[in-house]
Amino acid sequence: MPITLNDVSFLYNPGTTLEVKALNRLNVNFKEGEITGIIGPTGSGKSTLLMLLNGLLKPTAGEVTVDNLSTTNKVNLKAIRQKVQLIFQYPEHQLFAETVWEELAFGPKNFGIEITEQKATLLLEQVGLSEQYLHSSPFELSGGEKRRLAIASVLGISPKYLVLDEPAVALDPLGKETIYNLLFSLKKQGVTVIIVSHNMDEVARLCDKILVLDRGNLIAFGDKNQVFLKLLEKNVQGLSLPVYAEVIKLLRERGFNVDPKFSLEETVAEILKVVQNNAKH
Amino acid sequence: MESVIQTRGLCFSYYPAEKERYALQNVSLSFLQGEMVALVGPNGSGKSTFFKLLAGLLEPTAGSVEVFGKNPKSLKEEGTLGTQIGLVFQNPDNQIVAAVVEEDVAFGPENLNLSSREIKKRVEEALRLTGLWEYRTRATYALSGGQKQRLAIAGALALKPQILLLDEPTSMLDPLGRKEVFELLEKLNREEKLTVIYITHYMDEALRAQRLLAFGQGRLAFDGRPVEFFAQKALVEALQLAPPPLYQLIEKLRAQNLKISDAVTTPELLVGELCQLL
Repeated sequence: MPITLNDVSFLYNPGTTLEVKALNRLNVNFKEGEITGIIGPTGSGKSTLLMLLNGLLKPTAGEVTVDNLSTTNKVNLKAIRQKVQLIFQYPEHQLFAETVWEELAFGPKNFGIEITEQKATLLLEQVGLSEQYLHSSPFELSGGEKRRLAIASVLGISPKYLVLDEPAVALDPLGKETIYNLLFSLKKQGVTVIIVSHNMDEVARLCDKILVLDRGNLIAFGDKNQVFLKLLEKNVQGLSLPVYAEVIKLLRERGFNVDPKFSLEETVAEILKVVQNNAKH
Repeated sequence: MESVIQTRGLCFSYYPAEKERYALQNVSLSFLQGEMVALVGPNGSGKSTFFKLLAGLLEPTAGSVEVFGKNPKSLKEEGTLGTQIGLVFQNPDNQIVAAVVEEDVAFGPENLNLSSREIKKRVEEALRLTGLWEYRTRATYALSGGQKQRLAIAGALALKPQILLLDEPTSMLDPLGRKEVFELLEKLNREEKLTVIYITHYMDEALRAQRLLAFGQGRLAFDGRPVEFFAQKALVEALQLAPPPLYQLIEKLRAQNLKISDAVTTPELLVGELCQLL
């Protein structure tokens, strides 16, 4: 199993009066080549979970392993961090180099990987940025372009797992679209992608699997449609449904027999089915 | 209806020496009392510049802005701009000044030299309107994102403005916080008759406005009802925007000859109309 959480709990400030239980006995296997979305209200433990995946935090109990390497064992950390790249919210705030090329070269250098001009051009191409930018200042790029550059700067390490916190937040619709396409193409190249998102329509569109957290507990984990189905029946405070699921849920509450669907076309078909079966004559 | 803000030939350039580099060009329009207006457009389209000009944070390079017939700059000098226009920004943390909720709301009125009885009254009104009355003695840092943004709105309301101007007020909030804040804005517009003008990247929030202004390349590209905007596919695409999922669903249903009215802007309203058809 690529990334495995085995009975993982995490406490902040353990043994003090400020002790907070952030995660409670999680058992999760992230499969290779899938996109998983982690959702949950504020304070549910999403960010804590992300930081456990590359050993930034160590579990208070249980074990996290990446390709059978435990994050608890210090010796493994360098290898784990090369495999698992973490991208925080607003990664463009972390840009600092004088040129785009230097920005791309900095991270990989720490792992002894050299980013040649040709390689840098390829990385830019991978995230849909023009090679013309190679010698520009990263600060001349637009918000969406900076975000893509920040992502490109970790791709130079060829991570097997890419973990992103709110990758498309605060971008305009076109900017969001380019990030989605980038994640889809990384998935095609075999990269395992794990994202945290508050945007349910985004999760519905992007992800194969969904993991739901609520106050540190795993509420659901599995195939996207099954998880949304579960959320239709069980209200998690602070969690909204994708718009289409919301419509289906409201119809079901009014007593109509509709199957839960989460894409536009399927929702239209479901509504038409109801209309045909119940139309006033 | 009375016009509360009027712009004429409004232009702005961040590089006044280079005349062709306008961030905003030739915008003439008026906002009417009690309107709920969404401002949309891609990054760099001029909507935030427009917002800052209305708020008196920037001065026009050419053209004019009038708030109740006066230039925002002179209102600012008189110290009365805040009592006409309440400003709310993206990140509530940048706008909260006190450690305790009620003290934060009192900060604005205290600066107006009001009597302590009047200040108390205004703080209570603002906190009740925003649903924060029971949190009045809480520490501001301990509020959730949605509560903080409601507090920022309460702070603006305590000055009794007639217009609320908000720059992406929900973009940093989780879905629950977004819902809280947006429903509050709808309530303030509906019940308190406030004029509410907000910038948003969320097209579902834009759909719920009475009027939509779309900006592109520094120009006003559309001014009208949101449903009419989203129906103009080529324009929506040219502005790098996309209709909200709910609107896409409504369009598909209409294409199947289901009669859905233009009043449908939320899943609840859609299901309500669907049930009428059955």
